[in-house]
Amino acid sequence: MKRILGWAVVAVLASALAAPAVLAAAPKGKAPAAEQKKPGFGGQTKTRDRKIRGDATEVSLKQSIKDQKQIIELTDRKDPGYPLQVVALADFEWDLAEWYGLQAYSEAIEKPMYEAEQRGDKKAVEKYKKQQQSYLDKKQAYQDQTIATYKEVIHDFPTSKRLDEVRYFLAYNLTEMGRAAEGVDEYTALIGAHPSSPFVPDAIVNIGEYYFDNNDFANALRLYQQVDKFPDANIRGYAMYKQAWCQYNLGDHQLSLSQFIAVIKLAEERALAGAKQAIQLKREAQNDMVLPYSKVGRAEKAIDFLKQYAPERYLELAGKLALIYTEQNEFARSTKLLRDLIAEARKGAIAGQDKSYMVVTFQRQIVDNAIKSGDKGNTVTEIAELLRTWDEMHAAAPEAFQKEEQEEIKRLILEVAATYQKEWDGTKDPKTLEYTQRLYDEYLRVFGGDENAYQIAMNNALLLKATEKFDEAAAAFEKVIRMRPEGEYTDAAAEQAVLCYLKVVQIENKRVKTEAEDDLKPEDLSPDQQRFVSAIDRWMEIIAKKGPNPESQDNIGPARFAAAKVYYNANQFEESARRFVEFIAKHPSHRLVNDARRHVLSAYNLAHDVDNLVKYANEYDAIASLPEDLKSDIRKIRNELNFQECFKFQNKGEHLKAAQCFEQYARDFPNEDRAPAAIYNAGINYFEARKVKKALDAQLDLYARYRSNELAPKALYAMGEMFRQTTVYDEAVKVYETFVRNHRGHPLEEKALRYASIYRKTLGDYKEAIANLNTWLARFGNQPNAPAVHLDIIKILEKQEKWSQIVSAAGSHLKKYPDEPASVRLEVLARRGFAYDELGKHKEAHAAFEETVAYFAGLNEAQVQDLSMDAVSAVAHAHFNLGEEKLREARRIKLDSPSDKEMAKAITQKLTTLTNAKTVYEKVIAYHHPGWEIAAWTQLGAAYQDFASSVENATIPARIRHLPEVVDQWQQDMAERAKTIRDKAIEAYQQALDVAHRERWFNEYSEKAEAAIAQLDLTDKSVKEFRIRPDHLTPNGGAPAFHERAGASQ
Amino acid sequence: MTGFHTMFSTLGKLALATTLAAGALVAPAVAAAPFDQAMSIVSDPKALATRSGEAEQLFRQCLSGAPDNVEGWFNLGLLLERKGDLAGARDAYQKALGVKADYLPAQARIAGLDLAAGNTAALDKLEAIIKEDAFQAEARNILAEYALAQGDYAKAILHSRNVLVGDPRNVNASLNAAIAYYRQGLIDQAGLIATSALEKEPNAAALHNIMGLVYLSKDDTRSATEQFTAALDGDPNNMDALLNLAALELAYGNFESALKHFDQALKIRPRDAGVVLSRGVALRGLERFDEAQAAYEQALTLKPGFIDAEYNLCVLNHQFKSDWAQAKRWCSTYLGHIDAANPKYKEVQKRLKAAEATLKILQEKTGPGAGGGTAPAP
Repeated sequence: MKRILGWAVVAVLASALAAPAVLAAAPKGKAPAAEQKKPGFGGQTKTRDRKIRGDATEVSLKQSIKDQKQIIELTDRKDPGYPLQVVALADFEWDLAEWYGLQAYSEAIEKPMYEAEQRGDKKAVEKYKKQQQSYLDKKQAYQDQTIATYKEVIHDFPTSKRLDEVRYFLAYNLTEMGRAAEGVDEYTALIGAHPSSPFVPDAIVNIGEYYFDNNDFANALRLYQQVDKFPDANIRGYAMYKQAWCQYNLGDHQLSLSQFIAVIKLAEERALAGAKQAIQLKREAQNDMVLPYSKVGRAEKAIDFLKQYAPERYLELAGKLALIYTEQNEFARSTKLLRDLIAEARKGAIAGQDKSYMVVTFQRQIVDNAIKSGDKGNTVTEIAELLRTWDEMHAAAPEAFQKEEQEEIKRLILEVAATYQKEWDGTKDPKTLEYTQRLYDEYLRVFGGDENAYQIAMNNALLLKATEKFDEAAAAFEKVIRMRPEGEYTDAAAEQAVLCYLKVVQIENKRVKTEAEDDLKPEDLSPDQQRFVSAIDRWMEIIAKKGPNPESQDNIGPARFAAAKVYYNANQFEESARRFVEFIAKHPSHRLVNDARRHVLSAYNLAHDVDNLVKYANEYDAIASLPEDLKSDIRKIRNELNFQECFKFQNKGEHLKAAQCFEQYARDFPNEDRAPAAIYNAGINYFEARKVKKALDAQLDLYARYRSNELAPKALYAMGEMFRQTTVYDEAVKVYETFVRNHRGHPLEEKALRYASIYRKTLGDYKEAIANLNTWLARFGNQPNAPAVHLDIIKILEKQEKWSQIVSAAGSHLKKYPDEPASVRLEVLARRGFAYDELGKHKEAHAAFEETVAYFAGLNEAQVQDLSMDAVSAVAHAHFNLGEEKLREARRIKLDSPSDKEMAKAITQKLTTLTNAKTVYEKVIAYHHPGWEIAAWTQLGAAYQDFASSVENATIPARIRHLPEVVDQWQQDMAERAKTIRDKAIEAYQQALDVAHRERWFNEYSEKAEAAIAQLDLTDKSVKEFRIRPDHLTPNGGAPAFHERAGASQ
Repeated sequence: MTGFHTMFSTLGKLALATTLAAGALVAPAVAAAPFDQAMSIVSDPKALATRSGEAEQLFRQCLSGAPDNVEGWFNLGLLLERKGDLAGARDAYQKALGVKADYLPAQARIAGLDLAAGNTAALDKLEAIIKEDAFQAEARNILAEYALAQGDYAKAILHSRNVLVGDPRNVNASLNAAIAYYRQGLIDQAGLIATSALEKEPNAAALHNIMGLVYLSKDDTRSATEQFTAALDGDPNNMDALLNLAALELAYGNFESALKHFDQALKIRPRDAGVVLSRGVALRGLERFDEAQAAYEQALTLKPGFIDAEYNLCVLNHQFKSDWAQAKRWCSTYLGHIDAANPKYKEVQKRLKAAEATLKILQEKTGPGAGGGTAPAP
């Protein structure tokens, strides 16, 4: 029976140890339970150093007992060794008790019992429990026997040797059996009876442990402190360690911290003396000192403090301290410390090892703080940072660390995401949902290949859909399908993808196209459209196999309709018609069925598939309930059959016959609605039949006679196209410009204006080109490419060499488009500089070039990656011009002074300026624009070459001119100096050519470099010989036009 | 209507108001198969490049059974003209005219052969043809080529446009128009025409070739290379593209490939001194010095007084072969043909001096007669 010993026992002990001063202090009592902390480190006192052998059996142990009993029987009771033989018997009995204890919880019982429980086999469970209890009963019996034997020895042989040891293990075994209070009595008896026994310090500590375990830290402390009187006892360090714990639990945090430090110091001394346990004790004291530090230390000093007492482990301990702050709900303090730790860890070497990977753990702790502080936004941000840190650092970490941290991070993200998702289920707070989705997104980004990824990917897609990010959701569902094409979510994902696409792709049901208003050239589906129709087709396949899902079956019809409409919109009329027909067949009662019929007729009409047009017109005409507008369309189709017949020629490629057929129709039915279309088609077919004059005549006829018809603008535009295709660009632009003037707002207006601008510019009609671009800006200036269009104006002004106007236009441009793409801005900034240069305003040019370079320097990496080659060329050119300024400056320095001093000064000055130029050119080279790299190296070469010539041809100093031998020597010296400089020139030219060869980029500078090297270095092996130039161009160099047999084609 | 008056007055200039080409002819009864087979070869530049002999045989086979196939004779003439058999070509065109005397394409080709032979009276014939059919492609293209040679670019453009009005897909008309602009330095216009024409005929080698030159003039060597390569994909025997690509490859230092292209070019045009010379440069790059020497000397034989070859021989012998006597010979020969203002003058003078100095040292060591061998490099 457990009992709490009172102050009286402690007093007895104290008196036995003659330490009244210590015991005079009043007890501080027990610390409140909630604050009590215990070490995970204990059991340091003396124990039985015998262990049951692994191969021991009940029989072998019983045999040992039997043997020992025989020995006792054979030993005279008065023999001084007799009591020890009895103790040995007790020890064998204790061994057997231990063995029974092990059997009671062995796998042989536990496993079948667990399995029986799992399968609900109560009978079997009962059987194993009985078996277990039988072992435990035997254990108890043998333990009791051991205790009885020990007591018997103590009682019967009070003067026996080693009685202190017998008493110690009697107490010890009683404690082990759960009879701690009796154990304390026996320890006390030991101390009283054997005060000088080596077992006394351990006995005191064990009594202290009893109080400690019962949260009586004041009494425990007093007992541990008694061990200070045994400075050489092995247990002393542990007793000190436990004192620190008592002080901590008693609220004496400062004392506790000091005590832990004292333990560390003692342990270090003992470890040096070879005590193995000391290393572990030191480690434990280091671990535990962070507890009192958390109470009395300053977070910002923690790293320095811990570095002092645990130089090899301070990062880990500081992390532990941060955890304690977290446990104490001091999240901000914890996070602050962790951020300091991250900075510390990133420094790299800690005690000779790179521990930078620990930033992952610290950042994970920051995440934990964020979670616990309840700030979702911050939590998600910190998780993103954690994953970024993981990406960055994990490869450098030990494998075990990586494994453990990865699991922790995954668990943490999934837990948070699951919590948020659950919360959202209840609150429907969109922000919570967004956070959840972001967490899934982040998880997939980093751990997209793990076993959870598939499930999470599906969850993520569903959440994206729930947050109405339909575009992203569709892509996410597609990803789920790609992850496991035959996976359990494939069908659901296929369906959900379509539902998302239906939200994204705006499908307008009713409008059908007309030849007059629309561009009917077949287009490829965009990647988005392609994905959309693929998703629908895939869903339809699933439905065909498994039947529709009742929850989403209403979407099947609209999905089929939408896919057909996508093809219709892309002018792929045959495919569109096939799909609309399928829609009608599968959804005859759908509300969109008449829209589908309208599209079938329109698609076959626009595809000029006369046979199908007639077929479906007849089929639909037979439907009694057909709406009047559709009936009217069908009547119109019937009336136009003569017109439609002409398409048969067209479809067979017989364009001349088709043109004549259309012309005939227009002549026969001049007042029919289709007459203008017939003329238009005649024109198109004449052109295809290479009868350009007739084609133009037809379109002009249409434009003149049916000016108010919707096809008239298209006819005019077609004339422009014909001129364009026959390279009569000057006429083409006039037509386009007429179109722009006469048909404002027409869908083809923008295209006509664009062509007109391009061709005017190409033809050198710069004034007109600029006028067109200005018109474009006035009419379409809100389009995103407006800054680029304005840049075009500046480029045209450049061709016209209107430098002042460029300066002005660039200035307006920079003000008007402050947020334009970086590529455009760089070009404008640079061009302003070029214009200033041309105007001789070199100061302004210099400023403009500097501004260009500075703007580039301010771009982030992504922006730089996105720059066009022209933009990179512009900034490199601007920077190159800055180098040219330096080069000019260097060239202006003449080496013509007759004074030695002046000459030396001039050489130094020239060299310095050249070095400056070189620095600038090197920056030009760093843009990696091959053209300007070559230019920079070549100019550098030229600069050195000039310099070498200047040195070689320098004016002979006046003081030596009259001394021919000295002049010879001087000239030789100068030639040698020139050679060194010339070598640099060769090197630079060679670099230029290396870039040219490597990048396959040749320009005037590479040619200059090649020519210069040929002059300077007769050993250079690059090609300098005469050879053909790439300028071969032979008129009529195309394959001759072989003639088909007359009448074989048109 | 604003703008249209001007437009059609230009069309008038282009003679659009005149009668169009003669109407459809009655197709002669011929064995269709060989003709069609031949057409399938000649319509594909790649096939034409490798199987023109086969096509020629097929046309001949077709004509032996149906000698009244005017297009058969005409196409045979084109094939023969293409392979340089001008007499054979003329004969085939004449036979076409024997079948149909007013067959304008054959009349135009004969006039073209006459013009190429220096008979400018042929111009009148060509003018007469376009009077009869304003869009007659063969006549107009020959006239455009002549105008280009004369530097009359406006006329070349006018002829080309008229061909295009009759046949917007005519590659040579687009090419001639683009050349007219290119030679005037109107590079953008040239590029525009070539690009538009390539939209219609994406495999036309000659158009890719001019696009390559357009890119080169804009220092865009990479795109130029792509275009020349595309040209050779379309027609592996396109001489212009072969030479342009090989010239670029020499510049890149890609001697193997350059040599391959020069060899291919020489199969088509074996007596072109410039190509032979350039092939020598490729051989020098490959360190096949003796073959390079032979190539330079062959270039000189093909084109006596070809001073570029003299320079190359000077460099080869001085720098690469260390044949001082030959170096002295060719460097001094070259120097004799240029003046001091020539950018190569100083360089060659240095080479000559170095060769002479080395010869002198060698002669001092071994006596007169020493010239080649293993003297130290300069």
